[in-house]
Amino acid sequence: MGVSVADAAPALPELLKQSGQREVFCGLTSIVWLHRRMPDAFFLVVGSRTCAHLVQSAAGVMIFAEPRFGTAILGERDLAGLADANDELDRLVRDLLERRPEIRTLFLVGSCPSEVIKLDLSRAAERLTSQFNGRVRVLNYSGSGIETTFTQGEDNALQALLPLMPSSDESQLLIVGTLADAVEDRFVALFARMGLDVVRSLPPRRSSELPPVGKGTKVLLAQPFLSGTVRALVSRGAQHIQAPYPFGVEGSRAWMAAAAAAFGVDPALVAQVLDPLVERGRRALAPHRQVLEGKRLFLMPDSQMEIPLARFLSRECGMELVEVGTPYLDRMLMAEEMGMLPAGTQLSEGQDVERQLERVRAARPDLVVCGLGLANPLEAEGIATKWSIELVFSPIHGCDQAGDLAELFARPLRRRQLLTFS
Amino acid sequence: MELTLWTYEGPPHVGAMRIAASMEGVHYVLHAPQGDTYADLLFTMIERRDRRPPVTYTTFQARDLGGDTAELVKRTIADAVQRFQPEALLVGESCTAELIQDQPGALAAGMDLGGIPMVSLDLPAYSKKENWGAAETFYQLVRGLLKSQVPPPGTPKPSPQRWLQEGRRPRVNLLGPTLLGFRCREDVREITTLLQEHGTDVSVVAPRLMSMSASTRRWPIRSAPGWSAASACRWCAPYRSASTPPKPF
Repeated sequence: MGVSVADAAPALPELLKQSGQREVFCGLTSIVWLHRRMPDAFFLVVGSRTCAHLVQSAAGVMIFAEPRFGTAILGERDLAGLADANDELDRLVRDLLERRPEIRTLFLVGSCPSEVIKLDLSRAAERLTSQFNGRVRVLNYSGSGIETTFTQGEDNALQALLPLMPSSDESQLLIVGTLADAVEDRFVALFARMGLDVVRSLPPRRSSELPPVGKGTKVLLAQPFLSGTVRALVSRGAQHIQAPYPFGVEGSRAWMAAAAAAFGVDPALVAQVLDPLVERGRRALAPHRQVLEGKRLFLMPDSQMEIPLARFLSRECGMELVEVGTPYLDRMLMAEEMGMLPAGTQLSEGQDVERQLERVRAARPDLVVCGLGLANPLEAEGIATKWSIELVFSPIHGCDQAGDLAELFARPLRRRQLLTFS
Repeated sequence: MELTLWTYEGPPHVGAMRIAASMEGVHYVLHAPQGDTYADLLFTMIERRDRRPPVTYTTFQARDLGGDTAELVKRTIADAVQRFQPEALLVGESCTAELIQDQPGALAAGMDLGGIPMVSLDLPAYSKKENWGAAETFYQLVRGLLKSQVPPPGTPKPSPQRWLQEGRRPRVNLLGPTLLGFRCREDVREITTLLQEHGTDVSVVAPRLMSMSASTRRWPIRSAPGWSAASACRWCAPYRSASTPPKPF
């Protein structure tokens, strides 16, 4: 649980690297939003009762009449011999697909136990795909805690889809990362007004309607946690558009402008489309900035969105950054964002939760962004908190959402103000 | 292998967490991979407690598996004992750690823990569930801590009428209520009132909010009327198997 230091961007102090107890979800948690994005897919975790309990706890206790995720719970009999586990999995998948004919894509999601016992889910996926002969595609990826944290699950799920994407050199803008449907529609409409007609998304709304990829593809990341996916797309010939992420007015404008510039759109046209949005977004932000300005913010590592959010909250809302934690730092994906952070911002990578909490208590920030396991205890210590998991569930992308995004952070401070009697 | 779309009970180590979190002075070191810390939110969000459960996780990752995870376990135990200074330590593992067989209980037994009692938990994650884990943990804890106070064989049992000779009201212990139990807090309050109205006092309520130091003071088997470590686990029977008759908790 040693501390080591590594070089960060020139204007920033040395990166604080820690290891120890990590208070983060594993990649299985990504299923909670992926199953909403692709309603014709089913996510079958192959794991233990702990995995099943985790996903339903993280999902906020939602019971669906026809849930689109479940767990194949390994029992003692499966652990005794691997051949048995494969037969069991085949039987279980056959039963599931018979009952649920609407499933078009089945993801077998690896977990810590399935990886430790080396259950080969890629072979299982191939075997089952050929058994179902085109009716259902069976894919696999790992969401295990020993390999992935929280949002990395989406990165792995998208990489599992990649081999199925047809090759085409057609010119297109590919937005990568799950967006709320309404937000996606809005971006597509805005890009159309800038003359970009072929705009596609990964993951798509229907798992069977995958976009093509090739030399004409320009990739614009909507989420900052897709390290593996973007590299895999580049290896299929796509070009990665470097841009800040579309959080806040400034980030969203730069994000859309970078895409437009990549297609050679006249900057005057870009300004004509985006300037009114920027104007409106700033007006929506103003009342929340009044609450947030000058307040001190501590971000615990969780969703991998910490650095872009810190950039938004400091530059557009006037917050002071005490520490910005991130589960892991991908410098290629964060290049633009790190350049926009105020000089002197302390970044930390990884976590030793007890020691990080000591730093929180010593700094007494006005607001801590953290996971659900830490929030109420910090509130009890008199520190206002924001649940980071809300940020992966709420539509927060784009200029139109900038006000709502700021409101998410202003809300706990306003509530605290209302509850203070003095 | 069974398909599960919804599970009412978590894995057995979550049951152990319920016992540890219900008591004061107990700390639980859990050998578990990254992600298993999700269980903290059951206590901070569902039970709405003002503190995290007293659990330290080893949070091992894939890169640790190539190295020495046993060393990680020992380091985590030593750090947790130093930081939290518990009066009793539970050591156990979650489903994945069970597969890599580091045997954290045996590792802890070989360490100098400064004299605090340590209870090693063996909770088979692939065949048992949360309520079983809670009952087993409570039983192991009671047994581990009170073993030295078990009267020698042949000692006459305390008379059930002793309270008459001692000129006081009869006393009972309520065993079983835990955090995250269904309406346990209200039930304890109601049963205590009912018993008092009928002339009986409640001596010990455990494990919920039972302090460890209080346990060693107030649970001398010889003087406590009519119960022992063995009856503690009989009282916990509803946690152990569905075939036993229903008990208050």
